[in-house]
Amino acid sequence: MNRIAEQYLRQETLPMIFCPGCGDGTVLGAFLRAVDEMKISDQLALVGGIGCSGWMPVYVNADAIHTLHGRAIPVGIGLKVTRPERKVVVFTGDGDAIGIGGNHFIHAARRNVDLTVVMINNSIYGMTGGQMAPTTPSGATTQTSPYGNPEQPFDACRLAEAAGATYVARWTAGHPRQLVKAFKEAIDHPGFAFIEVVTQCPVQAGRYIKGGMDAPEFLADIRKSVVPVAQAERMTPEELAGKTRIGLLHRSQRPELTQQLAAIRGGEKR
Amino acid sequence: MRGSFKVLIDDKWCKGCGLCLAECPKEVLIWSGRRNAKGYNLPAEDPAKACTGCQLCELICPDQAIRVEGEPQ
Repeated sequence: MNRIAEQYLRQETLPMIFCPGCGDGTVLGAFLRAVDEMKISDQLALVGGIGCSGWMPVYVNADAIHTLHGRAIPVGIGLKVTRPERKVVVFTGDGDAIGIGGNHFIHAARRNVDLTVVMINNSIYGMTGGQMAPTTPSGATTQTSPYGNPEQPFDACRLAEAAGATYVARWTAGHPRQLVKAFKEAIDHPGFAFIEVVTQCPVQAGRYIKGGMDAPEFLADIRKSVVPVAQAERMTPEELAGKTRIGLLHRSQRPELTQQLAAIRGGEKR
Repeated sequence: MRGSFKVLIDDKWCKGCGLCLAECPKEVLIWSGRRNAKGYNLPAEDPAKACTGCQLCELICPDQAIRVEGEPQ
């Protein structure tokens, strides 16, 4: 076990529940490295929703809340409004954030609350056994779409940007170094920061969508399906078909909710 | 990076997913043929190859079971 894990993971909770080859552990490792570099472990307040990704805060030696399905973001907002000095990081999945909690997600982005929302996107409801999610690609076979998914998936980053998020980035579990940098930027960003991480889910998405349960192969395929934003700008729409853009997708500044609330209170200290 | 490095794999936490083998640019990691208490296949460092200390295996390992030790020269 490496130094970061020894220092920041609750040893009594290990091993993690994640299946062999799941990307969630890699993302958690990248998050811990960002926390270590920023030296903010005592200011952290973590919120986890329901699903595999909702378990990520459970293993971290920091204050954490495990909440109802889809309600991780509203709990994070409440936490940030009452304790604005805390660095609130919400770990959520694709079904949790834009399926069950879709309305909470767009309104948190609209309010521009100073949260960091990490959405693990495995394109399927993994923990419950491989049902179709709002991020499942069109035509993909899952347990609840045996004839192929007839729907179009959500692009969570475009949704966040359109709803008013002020930091939007997308990476994959195959880019841990870039993830460390993105976590640092997102935690420092004053406003709603959203990071989507496309991960391999060798057991559920592998079995139903891909037809193979080999984690390294799955990760290699994810890497082939993405293009960095700078490179995507030089590509034609035909070349970009079926590709996902990764990198820092949007960054802007506008008034943040907890600061606005403090101004209304007349700057009085709680 | 130059220097002597060693890849240490924690048998207790490894789940044998093979991501570290696929990630290593120098193909330093191989299947050891050993299994841990849970029956997962364990990787090991190939004694014939030299680790460059890039730490990609440590970063990619979902179970944080890898530690790369050594000093860059």
